[in-house]
This record gives sequence, structure tokens and C-alpha cells, in this order.
Amino acid sequence: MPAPQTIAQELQEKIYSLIKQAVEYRDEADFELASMARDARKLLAADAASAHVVLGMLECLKGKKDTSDRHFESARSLNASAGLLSNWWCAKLNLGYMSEAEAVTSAMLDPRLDINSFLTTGPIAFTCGSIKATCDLIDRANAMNTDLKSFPVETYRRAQTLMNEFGLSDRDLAQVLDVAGEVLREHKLFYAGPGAKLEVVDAPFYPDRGLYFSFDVGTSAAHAAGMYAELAGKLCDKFDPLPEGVHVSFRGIGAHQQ
Amino acid sequence: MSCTPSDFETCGEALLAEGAAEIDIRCATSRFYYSAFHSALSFHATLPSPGAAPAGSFGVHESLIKQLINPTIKNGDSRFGASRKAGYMLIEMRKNRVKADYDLDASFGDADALKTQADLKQIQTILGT
Repeated sequence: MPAPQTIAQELQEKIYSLIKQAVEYRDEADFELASMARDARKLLAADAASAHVVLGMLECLKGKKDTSDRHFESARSLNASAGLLSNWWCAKLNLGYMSEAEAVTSAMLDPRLDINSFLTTGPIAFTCGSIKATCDLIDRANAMNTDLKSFPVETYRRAQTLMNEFGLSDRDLAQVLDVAGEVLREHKLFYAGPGAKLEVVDAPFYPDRGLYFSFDVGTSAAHAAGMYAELAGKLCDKFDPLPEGVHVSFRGIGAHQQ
Repeated sequence: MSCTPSDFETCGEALLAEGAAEIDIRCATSRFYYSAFHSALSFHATLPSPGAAPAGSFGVHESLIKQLINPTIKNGDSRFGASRKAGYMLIEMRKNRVKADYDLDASFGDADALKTQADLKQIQTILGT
């Protein structure tokens, strides 16, 4: 029989594969998730922290934020590792709670924690607004001669320059991105791909310089445009004046037409 | 002979025909933006008072977007929210238009044009045009 940690690792890998392909929330009675949850519960006695992480991720796939958080809280009370934090971060990000994910980013940057787990999540950390925090991490990694080849360092640096120009903090960005998360939840959709797309628009011929975030969603272009209009309405309700230098929208990539 | 916002849209749709080359896709994106811009310009002209444009020198497009985002009509008027929403959505459409016409090294595909086209239809709905 495989060791509990091996089983937990395999379950986590399966979940990551499901999250990568997930377009919309899975049904609560989903057979595959129920079967994985049963396997995870069997691990509770031997490796409770890992079991709770798996259960937290499974709840995320169903769009259940409260129960997902409860499992991660239980896991944290048993073991506050960087790996646990990056899983929790991933769950919050996929459920669109960007301010909460941004706060976890800060916890992940605790110098006592292993930097390597953040090197995996860092390339998409801008999805929750964590740009300046990631630039700090890049500085730390450079000081430690860590390999950053797969890291979009230049994009982060240019984004930081624009943020300074517009007086924006990571928290400011997260609050704007939270609104996109709210719209995604209302439609019971996950964004497609590992994270948002970030376009740093700073070339001289662009009149509207700024950070343009876009979430691809697995729906038709028309449905995504409707979501974008809802997002615009919510942003106008939440912010007066609208924040300058940051823009967020949706783009339909048509996994299923609505 | 006069031209309407919907003529720009029709022109964009024709450019997006099956097997459109990148240049057609870029031009279609530009036409869709101009359709939205002219719809928004007409909408703004019908408001009882123009939106507030901040001091400074801005071009026609930037001025219109700023005015739409800062309407001076009563908040209770349904056109107040419509103006702000359309102004917000125009910012990205304009950025995509500039990308289509100026940023020739940037990758540009069908999805970009289809998004602009779908966003145009939303703006038309919001503005009631």
C-alpha cells in the first residue's frame, strides 16, 4: 500500500489537472470528486494536514469557498508549510477572492518559508494583484542566484513602473480584480488557463497607458461580453472615480457556446 | 452621402469573413471600435448636459471617454450608469484599436476581433442605440 503522503500527492496532482481543465463549477454530487474525497478522508488519521488540503481543493472545484477555507484552516493549524499556503492561494485565486489571495501572497513571502514554492506560483501572482510583492521576491531570488528563467521578470518590472506612475498598490489592484472574481462566481465559472492575462500597455503610441487584465472564460464571445458589461457596472458602482491605470475585462474562448 | 455607426459595424463584419487574414482582422477591430465611438458620441450629444472633462489637452476620443465616465446628469437618471459603463468599456476597445493599427509586432487574432465585436454589441445595448 502506498504511503499516505504518496496518496495525498497523487490526489493533489489529479486535482491540479482537474483545475487546469475546469471551465465551470463541478456539481456537488460529482462522482469523481466524491470518490477522491473518500480517499482523502481515509488519509485523515495518517496525514491530516495533507488530507485537509486535498479536501479544501475539492471544495474549491465545487465553488464552495466556506468549506474549502475550513479545510485549509484545519490544515494550517497542523502544518503551516509554504506548500499548504500555495494550495490555499490557488483555491482563493480560482474562486476569485483576489484580495484574500493577495494577503496569502504576503504570508508566502515570509523569509522563513521556502522560496521555491513561490517560484511556481509567482509567474501568475499578478492575477490577484501581487506585482510589487513579486518584484520583491525577484530581488530576493536574484540575491540568492536563483534561476528565474521561467519567470516573466520584465513584465513584472514594467508593471511595477506603471503602478508607481499611477500610485497603485497591490491591494488597489486586488480590489479591482475582486470585482471580476465576483462576476465569475455569479456565473459559476472558473477563468480558463493558469491565471489572468496581463498586458502592460506602456508603449508611447498608446494613449491609454496602464495594466490591462483579462480573464479568458470558456463561453462564447457574446456571453463573455455580457459578463464584461456586468463587471463594468459593478466597478462603476464600487469606485467613483474609477481607478486609473488598471483595467479588467473578460474574453470568451468558446469552450461551450451559450 | 452620410455614414452611420452601423455602417462601420457592417464593414467590420465583412472584413471578418471566413479565412480573413490578419490585416482584415486588425481592420475589423478598428471598424468595430469606431462604430462604438460614434454610437457613444451620439448618445453623449443627447444628454441634457455634457459629461465633465478634466482640464488639460485631450484628443476627441479621450475627451469623450472622460466625459462619459464623469456624467453631470442626475445619478437617478438611467443614462448616468449607462454613460459610465460605456465609457469604461470604450477604454479597452480603444486600446485594442490602437494595438490593431499601430502595434504591428503584437500577436493579433480572431479572438481579439470577436471580443471587440461582442463588446460593441454590449455597448449598443447599454446605450440603447
